[in-house]
Amino acid sequence: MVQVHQLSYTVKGKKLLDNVSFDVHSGQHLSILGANGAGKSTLLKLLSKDLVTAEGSIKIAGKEISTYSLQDLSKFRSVLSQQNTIALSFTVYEIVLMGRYPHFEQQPTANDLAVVKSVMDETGIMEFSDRYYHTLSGGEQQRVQLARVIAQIYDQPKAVLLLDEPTTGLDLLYQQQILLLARSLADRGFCVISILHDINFASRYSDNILLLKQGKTVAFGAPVEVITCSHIHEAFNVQVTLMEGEHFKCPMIVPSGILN
Amino acid sequence: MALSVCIGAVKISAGELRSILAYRMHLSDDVGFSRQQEAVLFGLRLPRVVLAVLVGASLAISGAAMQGLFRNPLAEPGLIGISSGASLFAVLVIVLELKFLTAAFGYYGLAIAAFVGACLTTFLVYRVAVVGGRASIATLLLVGIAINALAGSFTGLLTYTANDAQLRNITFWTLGSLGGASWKTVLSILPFVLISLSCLPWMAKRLNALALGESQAGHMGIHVNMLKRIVVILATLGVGASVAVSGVIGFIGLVVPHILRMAISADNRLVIPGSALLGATVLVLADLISRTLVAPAELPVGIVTALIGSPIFIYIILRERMIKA
Repeated sequence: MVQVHQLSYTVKGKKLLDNVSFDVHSGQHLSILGANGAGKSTLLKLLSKDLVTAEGSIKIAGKEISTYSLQDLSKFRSVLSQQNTIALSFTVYEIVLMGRYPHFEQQPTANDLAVVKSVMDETGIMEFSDRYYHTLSGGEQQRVQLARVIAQIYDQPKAVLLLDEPTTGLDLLYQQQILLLARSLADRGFCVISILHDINFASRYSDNILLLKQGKTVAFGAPVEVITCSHIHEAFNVQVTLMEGEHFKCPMIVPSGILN
Repeated sequence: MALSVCIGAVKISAGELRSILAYRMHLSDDVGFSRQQEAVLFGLRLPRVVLAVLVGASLAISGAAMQGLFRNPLAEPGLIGISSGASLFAVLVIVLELKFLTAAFGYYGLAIAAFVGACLTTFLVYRVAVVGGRASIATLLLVGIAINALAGSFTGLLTYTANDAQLRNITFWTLGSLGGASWKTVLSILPFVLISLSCLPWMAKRLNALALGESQAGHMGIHVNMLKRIVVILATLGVGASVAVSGVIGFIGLVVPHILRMAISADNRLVIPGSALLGATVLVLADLISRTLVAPAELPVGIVTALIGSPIFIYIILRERMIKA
């Protein structure tokens, strides 16, 4: 669904991304990991067409991203950004309905309203429907934003969902809820790409992991292949110990407390 | 509106109004009114009320759109230099007594100069704020403040050198008045105001999406730069034309959209068209007050709107603080 081939991006002579390649199919969840400044956000901005003029190619559903207009993309690809402040006092319902904006002109159709309702149910925000967005807690706001971006592509067969640090600043329960939701969307056929910071969560809930360091790929593949002591040390400069999970087959790490 | 048509230095009763209308529409041959009343109604009152409707609607709708564009409920059309540019050019005409303008356009020389001033200043603000094809809203705001201050200082300089008669003229113009209303003024601003009034509601959905953030709006398929340009042009057309014929009438553009947002919803699809209606009503009433309070003299309507508007504005700020606290 999303194919990235030898992608590089340079700003003022500095290579923020250097020859990155990977594939994500429909039904898969790819997590992008890396230290601060590794190029994760740059990569996501290129994938969402916030940034253009890169070397290499990004193909979505077999076509170069440059051949899509913003409107074309907005119909089947949605993006959850990191910063989400809302200027005016909108209610939760109004914000989720905005997710359907690319699909209707002036008045929402019955389908749009049905989508909004199911998404609000699934994300568990129905109870705040009439509350003002700015009166919600950080975790609740994040779920509203997630509901909005899911509503945008909910009824599309080949949808792409890009999440930029969807769990940052949230407590353990909300992190788990959001990643479970991302997982279930992927299981339903979405192509989900998210930037994460928690290596264990990434390992637990994604099909593939892309590990970046200073714009270059350290490793790309299934969690078992990517999450190894040497890869983590290379990417983050932190010594870790690998643990075996009792009930699941994904690698878990614990920092060993030794510097370098 | 009917109220506003009837009340004034020459009183017309409801019965007389009906009688005048019936006579004019050839429904009745009874002449239950004086010729003076008829002349006042059609020559003075009616155009004045229509002008108040047009000016009030375009000030308020542009205010609503600007607040959406700046993602700030305290924004108003004057922020990007529309009013200060118009003032500067109007004062320029008054003080320098530019004869060629009055020679070419007669009484309307002042209005045309003000409109040109509004457009030029806004264009200047926009050009300075654009870097690499993109106008960042924060820069637009800062440039707007700077250009407003610059235009204000020139206006001040000119005011300083003005003589007494010119000063009276300037004061009247900067405080705003619908006293110059005639069918000719109505017709001359009608096209600009109509374009602005009929196009801005179509931007409502896009402005809603913009409230989520610029990149978020882009992800929803909206060309944010194009949207900025369109809204700025439409607001300049409507407000520039209004300011040109009525002077600077404050607070309508700021307060009216706000009242709607508090009373109904922040949804621009309601706020933008609603602002046009409420703005028209508010200005008709404010104008009624301004010309009856000290009749037969007139208060500048800008004083009335500011008197009503400022306390509401302070209330809004306090309320915002309470919500955020």
